[in-house]
Amino acid sequence: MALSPAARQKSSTGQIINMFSTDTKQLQMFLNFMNNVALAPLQIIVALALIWLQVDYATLVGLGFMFFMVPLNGLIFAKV
Amino acid sequence: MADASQKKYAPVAPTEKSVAEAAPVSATTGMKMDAKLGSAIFENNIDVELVEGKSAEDKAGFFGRWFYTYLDAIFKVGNERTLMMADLGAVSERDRCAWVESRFDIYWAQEMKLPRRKQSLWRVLWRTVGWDQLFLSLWYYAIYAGVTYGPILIMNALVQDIQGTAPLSTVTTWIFVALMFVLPMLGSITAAMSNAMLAHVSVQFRNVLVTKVRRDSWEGVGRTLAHLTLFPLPDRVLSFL
Repeated sequence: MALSPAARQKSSTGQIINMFSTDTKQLQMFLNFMNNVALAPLQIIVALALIWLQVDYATLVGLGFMFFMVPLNGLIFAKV
Repeated sequence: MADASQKKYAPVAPTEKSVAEAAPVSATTGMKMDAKLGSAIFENNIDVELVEGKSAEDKAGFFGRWFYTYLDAIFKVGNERTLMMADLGAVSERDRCAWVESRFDIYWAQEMKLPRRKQSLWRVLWRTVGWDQLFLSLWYYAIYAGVTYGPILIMNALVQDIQGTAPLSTVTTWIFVALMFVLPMLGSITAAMSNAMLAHVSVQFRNVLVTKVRRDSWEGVGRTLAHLTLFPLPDRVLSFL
């Protein structure tokens, strides 16, 4: 949160507290996902390595399909 | 005129007398006493916001903390009637504003001595609740993430054993079968512990930030927070989610 002096003059204490309260709630929600965010890349790498041990280069097909689906998922969820 | 259901659940401000008549609140009361208080409050249609004393979690032993048996009493009461605030017992000491606020003030003052570009609210918050909470919760979650692969690898080994491509000894087979049941449970326990720790931390963060801003607003020095970049990462992640 960064306020210019002009914006600060326009904002009442109540408004700032309301915004901050919402921000802190977002932070509270983030902390519930924080471990997932931190360890998900590692989990994906381990999972891919295990798949590689089983199916070799076919892993790349799955990986490619996953990357292909990322923008499509984004597009779909943007409309939901 | 309000109907009967509205009347029953309408909030009534508790008075000292009504709470005292319902049940005494003591620092030594356990969950049983809190449940009794909750029943009295429910019957008398009053509510209280805070029960003094140690929280059920703080009072729980090692087994209770890891397996959440301290919640049994709440589940039991919840199965019988609507839960009241008093049924939940006291708030954990570390979750109270006074505890986090006092620590936050110390680290905030230290952070303010740094050049503005090096100041970090994120660092102050973690120092307030303790870095050990972050690393320990990450460690528990890493255990969960690790053991998640256990059953998959075991299943793979068992299939190879059944196929005859990589035979296992009888003892190893039984150990693997046992681990198929043990590892998911271990993962669930460590994941639950990690989530519980972060739930505490998130409450503490929120408490301390809201308290700090409110206090600064009263003092007319809200500007002290204004220049700090506040959590761009959480915002982006939450936008993504």
